[in-house]
Amino acid sequence: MKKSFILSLLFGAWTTSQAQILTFTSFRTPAQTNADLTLLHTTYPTLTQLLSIGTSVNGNAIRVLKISSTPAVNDPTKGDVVFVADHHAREWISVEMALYLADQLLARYATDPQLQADMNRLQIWIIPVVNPDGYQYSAAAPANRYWRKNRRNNGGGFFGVDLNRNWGYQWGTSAGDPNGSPNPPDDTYFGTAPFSEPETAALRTFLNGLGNFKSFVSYHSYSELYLRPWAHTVTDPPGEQTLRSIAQRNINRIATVHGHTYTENISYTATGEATDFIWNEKRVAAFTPELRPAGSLGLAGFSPAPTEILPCCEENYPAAAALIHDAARSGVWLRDYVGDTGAEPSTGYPWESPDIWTVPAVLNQNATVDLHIRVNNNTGATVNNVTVEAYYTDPRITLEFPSLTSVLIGTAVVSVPPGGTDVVMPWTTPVGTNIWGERHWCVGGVVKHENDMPLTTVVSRTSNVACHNFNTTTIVESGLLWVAATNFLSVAAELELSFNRGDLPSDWVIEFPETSQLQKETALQPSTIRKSKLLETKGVVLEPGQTVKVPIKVHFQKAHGAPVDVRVKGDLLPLVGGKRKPVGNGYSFQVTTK
Amino acid sequence: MLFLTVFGQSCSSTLRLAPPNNRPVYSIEVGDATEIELLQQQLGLEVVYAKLPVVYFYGDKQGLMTRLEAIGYAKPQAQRLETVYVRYGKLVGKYNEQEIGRLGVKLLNREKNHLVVYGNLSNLRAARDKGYVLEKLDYEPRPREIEVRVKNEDEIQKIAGLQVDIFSVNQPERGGPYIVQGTAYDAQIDELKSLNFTVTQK
Repeated sequence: MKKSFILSLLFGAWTTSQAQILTFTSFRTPAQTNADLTLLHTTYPTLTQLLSIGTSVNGNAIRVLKISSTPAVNDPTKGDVVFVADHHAREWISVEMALYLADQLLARYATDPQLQADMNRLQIWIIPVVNPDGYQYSAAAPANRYWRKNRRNNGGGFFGVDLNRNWGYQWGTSAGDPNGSPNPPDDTYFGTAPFSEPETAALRTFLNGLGNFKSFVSYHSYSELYLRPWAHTVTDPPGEQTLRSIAQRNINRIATVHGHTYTENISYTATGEATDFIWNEKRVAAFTPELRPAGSLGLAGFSPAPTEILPCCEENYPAAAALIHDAARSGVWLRDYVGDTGAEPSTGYPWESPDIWTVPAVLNQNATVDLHIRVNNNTGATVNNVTVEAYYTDPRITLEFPSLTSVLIGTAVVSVPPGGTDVVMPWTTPVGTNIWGERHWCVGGVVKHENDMPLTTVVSRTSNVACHNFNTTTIVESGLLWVAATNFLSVAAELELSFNRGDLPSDWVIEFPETSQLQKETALQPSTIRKSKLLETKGVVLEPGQTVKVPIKVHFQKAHGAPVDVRVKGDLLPLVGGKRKPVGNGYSFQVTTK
Repeated sequence: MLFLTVFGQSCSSTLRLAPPNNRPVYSIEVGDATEIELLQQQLGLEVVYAKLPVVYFYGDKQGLMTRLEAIGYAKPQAQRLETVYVRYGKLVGKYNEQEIGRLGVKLLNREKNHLVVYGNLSNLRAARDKGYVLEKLDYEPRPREIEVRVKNEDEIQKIAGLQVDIFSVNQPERGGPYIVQGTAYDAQIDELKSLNFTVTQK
């Protein structure tokens, strides 16, 4: 029996087209693409909505097909997964991929219970053509076929901005000889300013409006690569382990279909790239698959034989479906707080995971304890090969796991029966104190499985990541609680602290220090000071990587016999343009009084 | 001095060397791209273009300069419009590449009957004053398809940094050379050659 036949038996669900209404035997024209998008909508009116997120330089609509069990409703309880294609006009196979994905999801919805369950929890947004002007131009005449940019008139006879060099993060930087040009004739021209182009500006506004953004894929061609952030530097991004796990899983999924093994390294850096912006600002897993063909084919690589289209789409579908499954509710997961049902994002206090604890419970320096991580399983069947990673870090507001500062305690690969299992690993607590002289730490747990990956490193936004803040403090009247906050983003951010008055005994009062008092301790770059003034910030501003130690004054009239939980929430508001979305976490004290 | 001659099409129109408008342009220095976005969003700054760390903007909005200084920017610098705006055009007739380079005019492509050149208005005027014939582009120049074989990823990065539009990088044999394919203008090909890369035009 041929290997390919065995594979097709094993992965038949991936390769067999089920009642698809579109064909993939030749590259379609822009008019056909528009017509087929409309056809998908009219064929599945109860599952789709066809919208425009904005218009291009020449006034063409940038169309998005929304796929949802309730398409007319924008439901923030559903996760948002976004697939886009054709930032670069000539990369026609990416348009085919986006249409194929839409066609397959809609066709399989009625017959694939697992996919249906996933899709019912999500809003899937498919934008087949980010660059409609360039796409039309590239199809208008053979001489235009390999046009890359949009059709901005730069004056003097030159047109176009490279839309995948026009995103705001690391736009226009020149350190390290990146690909991204200030000169209008160049095919890598990055435009006059970040988001200078209506196409990228519209996409950013659209993404900012999503209520529960989970994942982003930007299809390109060619070379058979599966790329992840960063694009602008060879340095690893925060959460590299998580992004790498997903990328490698997706590469494996692609390879199982037709045996094409995509690789991970493009060998050079580029500025103002879409996935860099999204990972930096949103901490949402974002990938750039460079589709078929592979090899040194010159410009002809953008026009592969039409017989390549279908296998290219077939092999990339399972990777897309895997991300969709990841974005739906987790099968193996950790609770963020008592009563957590697995909803994402978490409500409550997501830094008090009851699924992470130590024996003994009190931590002393340089002592080996048993670290327990309770992995839950709501799939109804045993899940094998679940990877459990444990990290520790100084406890601070604004945590993510893994991060550039978290330390790996250990990794275990386990089978998780229905209901769940406890994973125990030894942990020798550090010698000495944390960064502000105390002996307590925060432990983060990450669970990953081939069919269930975390799509972010931010605790509250995924059930695959949880943390527990180990801390007990005794205070007297007017005592101080010390918390710390670190800006783990790659841009300056404003810290907002808050607490829930209703959690405290009625005679307790909590006072935060004045911002000016805290700001004195942190040195800011002139550029950050100016951004802070432009945005009229109120909270303390932190540079990337900077930590501020915050004394919180607690007043009470009488001591309480039982410990009192004092919970301080911290949000980082990045100093960026557009809608500023907070990313945050918190810090709990179990306070005993005397 | 070596003079070459290219023969232009006489019907092309003269390249206009005037600013697109007479609005005053100023510049300030910023830390990064995010700052540009915030200036546009919060102050309505109209950016002409940015080449980090410098941002060129229209300075005729009432109260803008005062606000910029209050936020902490150094006093915005008034710019000569002749140096702000860049034009691309055809240079036809006799030319000397070294001389036009000294005048600040840069080469983009060498065509059979003309050069495609660019420079700011001041530099182009200087070239015209020297007798060079500058005409408006009547087509959109395109880069050449090239292939470069390199030894390692550092060299690939150098090629990327010269703004070659790279569309494939392959290493057929482990440890062997990488084949980089893309498109580049003649000026970029010149730079690649000056860095001792062997460039094959396809």
